[in-house]
Amino acid sequence: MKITVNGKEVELKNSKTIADYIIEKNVTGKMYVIEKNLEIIPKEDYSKTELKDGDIIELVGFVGGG
Amino acid sequence: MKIDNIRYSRNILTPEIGIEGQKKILNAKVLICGAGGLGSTVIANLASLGVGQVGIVDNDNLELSNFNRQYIHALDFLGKSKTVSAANWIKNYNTDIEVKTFKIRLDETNYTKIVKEYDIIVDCFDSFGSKFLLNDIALNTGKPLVHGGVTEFRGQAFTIIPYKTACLRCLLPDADLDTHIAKGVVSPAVSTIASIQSMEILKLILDNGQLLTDKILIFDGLKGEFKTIKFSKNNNCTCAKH
Repeated sequence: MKITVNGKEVELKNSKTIADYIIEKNVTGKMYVIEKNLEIIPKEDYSKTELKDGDIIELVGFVGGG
Repeated sequence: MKIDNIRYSRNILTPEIGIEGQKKILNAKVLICGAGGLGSTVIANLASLGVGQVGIVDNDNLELSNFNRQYIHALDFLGKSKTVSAANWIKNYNTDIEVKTFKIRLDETNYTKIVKEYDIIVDCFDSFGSKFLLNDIALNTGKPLVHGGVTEFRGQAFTIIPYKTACLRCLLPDADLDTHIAKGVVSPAVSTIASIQSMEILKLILDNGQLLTDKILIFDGLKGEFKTIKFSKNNNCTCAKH
């Protein structure tokens, strides 16, 4: 399937859920949140949030400077 | 209470403030944690508004590299305490403000006496560890916390009402607090996020307006984009178990 991540089209071969996407695309680190339809998906729901063709998600880095 | 109607005339003329609102502002007590980048703009905004009591916590001394964004500090204070420098700026701008300074590294053992004097805490600290510390302090004391974080051209801000709205740990339950990579940051991004924080403080004081609770405002300066994204309390979080 193809989804859009941060405005760019991404092809997924093996992913059905957000958790799968993180593994397939080797998303590292922990200081980020994933937004779908202007709502942040709780981390504990990554494995049960399904992705479908055409989904638009944003991976938002959380910053700690001040 | 005697109000300087000339100094605060533009606050008072604002319909949502008026004389009664200005009294609330003058009676407000805000603890500003960090007198650096975010702190500079928060301090300047709160002093401009007339927030009557301000506490400033910062353990650092001024370094030259601070001067690309920490604009309330004077070069005369280079090498000296940021809290003293910040208090000096306030003294020369608005003598209505009562300032207390705390040149300490805030931690789990020393915050109680300091925090209890204030009604609102604002996060102007510069590390993930300190931001999560403030989250926990807010939950332990019940004081509202206005979170902010910034780096490079971007940042985020939101408000936490302990046990009523989602907290920082709801958002990042598995935070990596050892993450500390020196990164750049530009002044306009810093002052943008800090101004959003200042606006949240004002809304808390006035008890008016829509707070950034259960949502996070994200700013990307390079894209010229603001985005508000909802998030909810995590049922497994400490804050959900009160």
